[in-house]
Amino acid sequence: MRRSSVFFFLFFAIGWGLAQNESRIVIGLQAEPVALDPAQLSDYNSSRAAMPMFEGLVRFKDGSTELEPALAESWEVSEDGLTYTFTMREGVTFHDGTPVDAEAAKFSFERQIDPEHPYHDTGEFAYAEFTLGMIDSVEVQDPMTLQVTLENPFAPFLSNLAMHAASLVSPAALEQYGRDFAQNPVGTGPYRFVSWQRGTELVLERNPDYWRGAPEVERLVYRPIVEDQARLAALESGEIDFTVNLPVDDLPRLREDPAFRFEEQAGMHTWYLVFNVKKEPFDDPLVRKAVAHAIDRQAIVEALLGGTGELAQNLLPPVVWSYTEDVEQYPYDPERAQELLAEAGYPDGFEVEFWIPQSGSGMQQPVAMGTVIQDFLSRVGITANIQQFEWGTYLDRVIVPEDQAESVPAMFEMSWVGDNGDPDNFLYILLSGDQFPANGFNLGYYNNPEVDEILRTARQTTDQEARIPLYEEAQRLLMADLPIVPVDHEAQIVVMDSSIEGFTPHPTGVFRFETVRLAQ
Amino acid sequence: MGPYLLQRLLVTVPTLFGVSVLVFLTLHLAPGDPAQVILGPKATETSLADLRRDLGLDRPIPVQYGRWLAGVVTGDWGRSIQLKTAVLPLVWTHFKATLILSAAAMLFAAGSGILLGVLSAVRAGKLLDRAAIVTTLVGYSLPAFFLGLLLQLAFGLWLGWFPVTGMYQPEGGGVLDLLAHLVLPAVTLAAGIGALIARMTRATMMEVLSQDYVRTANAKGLKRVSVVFRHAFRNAFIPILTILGLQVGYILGGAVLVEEVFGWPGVGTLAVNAILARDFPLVQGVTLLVALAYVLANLVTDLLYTLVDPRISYA
Repeated sequence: MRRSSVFFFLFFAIGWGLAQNESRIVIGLQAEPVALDPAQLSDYNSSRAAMPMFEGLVRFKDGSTELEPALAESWEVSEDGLTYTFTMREGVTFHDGTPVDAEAAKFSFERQIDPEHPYHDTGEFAYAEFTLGMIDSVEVQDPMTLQVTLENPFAPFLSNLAMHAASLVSPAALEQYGRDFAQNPVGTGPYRFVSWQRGTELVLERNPDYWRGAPEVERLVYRPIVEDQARLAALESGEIDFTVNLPVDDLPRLREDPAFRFEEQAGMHTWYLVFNVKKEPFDDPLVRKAVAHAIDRQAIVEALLGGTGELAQNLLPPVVWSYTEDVEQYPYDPERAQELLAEAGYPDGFEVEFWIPQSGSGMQQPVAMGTVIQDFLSRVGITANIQQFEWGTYLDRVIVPEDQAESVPAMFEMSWVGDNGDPDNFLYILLSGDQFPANGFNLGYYNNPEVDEILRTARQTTDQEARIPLYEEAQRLLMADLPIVPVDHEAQIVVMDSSIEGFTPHPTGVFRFETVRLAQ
Repeated sequence: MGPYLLQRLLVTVPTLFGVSVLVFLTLHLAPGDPAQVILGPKATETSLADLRRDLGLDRPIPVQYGRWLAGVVTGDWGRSIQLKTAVLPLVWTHFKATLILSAAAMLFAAGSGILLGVLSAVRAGKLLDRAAIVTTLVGYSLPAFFLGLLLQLAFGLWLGWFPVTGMYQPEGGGVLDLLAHLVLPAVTLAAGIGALIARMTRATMMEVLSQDYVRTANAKGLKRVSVVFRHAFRNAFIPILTILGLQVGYILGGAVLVEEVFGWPGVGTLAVNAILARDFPLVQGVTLLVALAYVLANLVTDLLYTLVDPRISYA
């Protein structure tokens, strides 16, 4: 190719780029969004792309998981904690111009949880049961008043209503598109859908009628770039303006570069080791504690994760309210580990199965972390035999009902990403005796009646102030008995062009661009 | 010619059938449940069972295969389990991107490979030949992903001549935009094959150039260019054409890696994600289309022989 022609189309391309460049942010995603229907979101790439278009009755405040009114202006909760009455915000419309009212809210919920609903077959609702499953009935009292009745009192319900699946969708759009609503999303959010070329780009534009005021940045373009190294190259060459999950080794260099701005926050995430407490030797808390003391978790966080995680002192991440560090600590202390092992009757250690996935959402570097843990354990005489699985297979093999507990290994890796910012979403689901699979995610079958009683009371108490001491007590009891070893809380590290101002990461991992401006 | 073409096209059908049965069985025998992958770790047992029923995964495998096959024949390739959209348009969009990349790489590989091979045969043992040997050795030995990173660094980040990812500018379009984005990935994908073709061309050309009729042509006083290209190269081209035909498979396979490195929206990334997600209909769709392309490319190669060498005929 002649050099002159190279330059010719480069000028053309640059000219084109400049002409298009007014007030636009190009976001590099780690993978193609799967679907843009808020009721069908179950991965970060989809929720990051879709959530600027949607809102629920309530929303998480910027930068936190505290709640504030959104499409409901106000609400009342009955004394018994069973009935929630919402007053809808006046004058809000969906992007297609249809009004947002109590009917639309009822439609958005019942479509997911009522198998008889005419639009129930418009998708697979992975989070419906989790988010809205506790609803007994939804009544429209008048066009702007919605009454939701629960089967049992459930304190985190309002927080659930701020989750993706509880977002309001336009009934008219669902009628029009059916199953293809996931490709033609219509909500009420600060941005609205323009176009989506699979694999290439998704384009959103600002909603000029947004009830909180139209955002400053006019257009958002999402590009899937799977390879981390390629996404880094795209950021450095200016092809994208904003991304996450860049290679750890490159972060220090980018931090030095004034062309980029960093925003970080410890996420609503915990990476932990699960013990199958139905199996020897982990039915003995002494052995579990020995494992915790044997692993230098600080070294894993610093050396292996390169500071992209924060050492976990507790199963609950620090961004979730009621978090406390006033719990038993397990610093790296191999001698203490050996003493505990001797006390438990294993002076020469033991041999144990240790399962790890090859990759997986929230699992960070499962293989490297597993190998390092194996090495630390070998130093106190514990031989951990690693077995690796592909992620889908892994989930199949470790999420099994109690009657098949024998098939689950004595020790394995897992991680949890919080959904609604409520402590119940970690402590109850991951460690309550009511939550063995398939009910919940207590994969090691830990069962402590004292803890269960506290967690049950806490989830039925609507007063948040009264719930805090209950969760603090639960954390103390759990960390003293140690059914799992928390290792780290992954940080969200967002890197963007330095012209982007006013961006704050959100604990849920979604990107909020409505508060962002571009410096001239 | 007519009966031969018909026969070849008919053979395509059992080939594709065999491919689809193999892929179907492999996917279904491998562990991992698509319902679990779609709904994630937080799914309840009821929703998993519902989804398996919706997707027809609770049926016996022959029934699932039969349904799928009936659909394909009638133009309904099913819906992607993971991406929740119709398979055929999805695969076709991505496949077009792969075709563009592969075709550009093939053109570049053939053009540069043949030119380099011929020059190096003509100048055998001279500096140009030695330089060409080293270049092709390097080109052939460098893994595509590494070469891709080097090119990105040099021509994208340092020199800023070419974009490093994607197929178009954001919200862009047009042929020039596409060409600018095509250069680096196409060169990366072409390097290995171009080097192979260059070495192949050099070897066959050396052989042909030493034959009597070439000496005769030279003795007659024909121009060097005419001897090399009209007389010698035409005979050397048949084995090169065979290599080109065989490389179509390699290009389509290599495209997967190159697409990842350059964020090219081709069928490779789509296929990898589909396999990881146990997205049966999508994997089936991709495989079928790629197999079809491979079979057709080989057919075209065989037909090209008749054009290059009149002695070959399929009558």
